[in-house]
Amino acid sequence: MPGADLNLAVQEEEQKNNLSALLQSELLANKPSKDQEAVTNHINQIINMIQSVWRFPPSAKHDQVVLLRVFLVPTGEVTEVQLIESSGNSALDRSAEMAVWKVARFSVPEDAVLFEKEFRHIVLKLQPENARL
Amino acid sequence: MIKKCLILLCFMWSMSSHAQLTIEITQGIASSIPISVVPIGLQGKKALPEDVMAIIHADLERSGHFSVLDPDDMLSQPASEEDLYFRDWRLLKQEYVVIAKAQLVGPNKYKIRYQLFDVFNERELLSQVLTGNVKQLRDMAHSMSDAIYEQLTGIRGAFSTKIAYVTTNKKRTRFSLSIADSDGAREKVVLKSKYSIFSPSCTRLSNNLLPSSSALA
Repeated sequence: MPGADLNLAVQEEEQKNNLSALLQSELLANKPSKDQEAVTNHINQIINMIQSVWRFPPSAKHDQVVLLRVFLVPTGEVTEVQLIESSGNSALDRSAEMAVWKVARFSVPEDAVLFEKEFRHIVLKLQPENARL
Repeated sequence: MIKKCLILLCFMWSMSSHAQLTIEITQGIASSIPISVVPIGLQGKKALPEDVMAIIHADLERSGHFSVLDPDDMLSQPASEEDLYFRDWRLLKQEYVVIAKAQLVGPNKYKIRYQLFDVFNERELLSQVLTGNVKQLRDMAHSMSDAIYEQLTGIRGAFSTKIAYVTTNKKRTRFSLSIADSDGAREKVVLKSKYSIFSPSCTRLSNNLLPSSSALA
């Protein structure tokens, strides 16, 4: 039956198409996921670095938030820290800024493209959840 | 038209800034702040009748929010900014340094200039000049403690306040009401009584103390 043959051929063709599409999407997905992994890795390192030096004042409340923008160069060194949003507690703001300068050199990806895309300037949201108040 | 374009541009810019990497930090160190209170520098040979810096040292340490460096452990004891080397204090892991200079400016009149520095950023956070006589030296010290405390903790200091308390003897036949500085210094007995005195309370409008006594009740 020619009809059945044709059906089979179409099915085969479709399967092939599906496979190649899958392969292509996997190839495409591979690089971003690797990048994503590197980004997550560096983010975790940055969090650890800051948490180990950030000494907040006793007046800090657990729900106060400081937003900072940090400017980095490809070596990871901090060149500028901007206060985007104050917590309303100047001592807490200062402690957050000081923590960034204390770290001085952030962990950043070596890949220049990835650095430019994600790490040239980053926003830090600091909230002392372990504060007593 | 231009306005519309501008709004659109602003919108796009804010969109792009939203895409920026945001890192959340939720834990910090809640321990005491390392600070150094350098012994006062004197212009003239005579020492101050009150050790102003020792009073500040004790005030800050007693608050529990600071760990104050022992003057014997200091690498240098600068009295002015020119002699202050931040490197020394960083080596000692100090975050803040207080230095001061005293000068006898008249008969029985002292001028004290003190400065508070942020060691890490190498900048001055506070600078004040106070004058007073010998009797006011303690008040000056407590007021300096208050200013330093508030600057660094964000909480108003209470070192310049007074405490009132009642004392009695073993047989409980004599009672006295006393007032002293917040650190217990300069105690003054304001009332002596055979009857028990309790709960002195302050009047809001003046500096009067109103003791209650079983004799009055």
